[in-house]
Amino acid sequence: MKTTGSGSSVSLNSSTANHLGIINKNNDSNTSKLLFGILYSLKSISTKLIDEETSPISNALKSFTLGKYRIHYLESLTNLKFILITDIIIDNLQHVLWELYSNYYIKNCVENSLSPVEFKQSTDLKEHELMGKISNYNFIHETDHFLQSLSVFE
Amino acid sequence: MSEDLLDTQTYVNSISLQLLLQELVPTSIRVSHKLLDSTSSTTSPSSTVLFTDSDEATTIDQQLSSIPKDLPGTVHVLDSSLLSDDEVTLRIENYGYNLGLKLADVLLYKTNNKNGNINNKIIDILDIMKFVCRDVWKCLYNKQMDNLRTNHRGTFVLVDNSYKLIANLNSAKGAHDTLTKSKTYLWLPCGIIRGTLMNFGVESTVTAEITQFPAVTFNIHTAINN
Amino acid sequence: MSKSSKYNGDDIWKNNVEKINSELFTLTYGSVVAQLCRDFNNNYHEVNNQLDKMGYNIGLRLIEEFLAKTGVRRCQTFRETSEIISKIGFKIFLNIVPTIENWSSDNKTCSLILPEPNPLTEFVELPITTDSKISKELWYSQILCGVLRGALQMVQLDVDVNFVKDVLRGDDRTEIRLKLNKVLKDEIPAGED
Repeated sequence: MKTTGSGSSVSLNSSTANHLGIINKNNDSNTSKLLFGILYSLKSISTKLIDEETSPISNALKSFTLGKYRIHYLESLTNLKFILITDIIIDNLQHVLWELYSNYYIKNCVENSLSPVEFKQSTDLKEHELMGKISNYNFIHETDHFLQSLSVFE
Repeated sequence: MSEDLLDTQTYVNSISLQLLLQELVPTSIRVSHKLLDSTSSTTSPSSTVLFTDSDEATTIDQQLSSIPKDLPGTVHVLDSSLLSDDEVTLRIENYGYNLGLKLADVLLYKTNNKNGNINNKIIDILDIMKFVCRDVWKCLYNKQMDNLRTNHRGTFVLVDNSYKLIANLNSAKGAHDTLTKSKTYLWLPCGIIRGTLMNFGVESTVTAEITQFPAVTFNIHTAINN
Repeated sequence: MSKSSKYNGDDIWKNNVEKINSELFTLTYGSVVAQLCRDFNNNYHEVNNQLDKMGYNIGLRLIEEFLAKTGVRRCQTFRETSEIISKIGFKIFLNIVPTIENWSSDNKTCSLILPEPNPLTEFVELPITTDSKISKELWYSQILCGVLRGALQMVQLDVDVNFVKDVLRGDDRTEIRLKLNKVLKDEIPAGED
């Protein structure tokens, strides 16, 4: 799991990974940073496309597709960003992302007082702390188990 | 107090209490740190020299204490060397003790009021222990203690197979770190048990050990031969 | 119809909240305040500040519990936010619904009036006669200000929150003042570009 940003975080899961329990293999590469940038841009565009003040429906970014993959996205009001990368045939995973937030994040981070809930970077932190990873075993293990139990996971 | 008020049980969300209890450990560390800081500053005879004389609003980017990196929403404060220090653990135990002392009163008052007769159940030390296992634990954690044993010479062993306050604790630094930090959290229920017993006039020493996480065994020593 | 009516605090409280005796909560909080007063040798500013820090940290976690449980969407106005705080936030965590009044003309400042008794202060009496300082300096329920400020910070609202009146001090009511300073923008953190 990787989190980054000011009061915001990116949880990277790839349900296309083959290794059990090694889901976030891209976390230490620059991919997640790039992804963060893309999502940030898309989000900005989505808010510019409609007038949020008057529109009854939110224009929140939910997913976008590449030739081979679909990026599923959910952001909590607290700016936590939940992201799943899947094959393009997987249509909608909003409910799965919400489950990751409302159940797994709550239980394993919010109700775990040994886990931080604020991932804002501070200038005197070392690189790995700066990235504010959620690296407790229960969170990784349980989200992993949850994702593998889904019918979309093959 | 009117009759009606006694009959009406009011409730709050158990999460509210859980979040409050969670904060007792970091708060105890911060308070201890501050008090030790102020007494070690020998330049001034006044121990209140480092204390503030104004109210300050906490903000997201402001340190909560002079402990390194102790920012809101982070857990660096738990890496303080004070974590297992007597200064901190006694403070946490004392929160529990005062709570247990008063909670026993309220619970006794309620059960007696409900049953309409005074002290109908609690006669000997075993009754008191059952009161802890059932009434006190149920009120605190919505569950009873899972096991109660005694050697009939004043020693009691109470087991909670999944102690709620530590059940979700999981450190990014691994199982050993989780265990070390959980131990500090256990001084609270130890204090609660000691306070409850003291309410009945029973002096005791209470310690806790984590048998198989998150199962907790409470060892209670009293001077009473039962 | 106000937007907050989409969410029903009563329903969530009744059907979706694990409950505990409010006396237990009152006693726990009371023992915290009492010990802080002893620890800081009745320096009540220190006590207020420590309660505020506790509350702030609680608020950072409580907001996630709140959002996960209610599914509340982003508010468009601070008036809407205040309704949600009172009718849903206070309702599902403390089972009370403060009233909101005293709006400033720019709609950025308002007061929350806590009902009496409430789960923090029930059966509490400050020793005002033996300690004249206490009724001028201690904000017994200061933790609530920390919780609100911390929780609102997480949803990008920079809000001043402080007590202006407290029945425990002998005031006619217990009043928390909220002032919206600004809505924070979600920005790319430095070093991430």
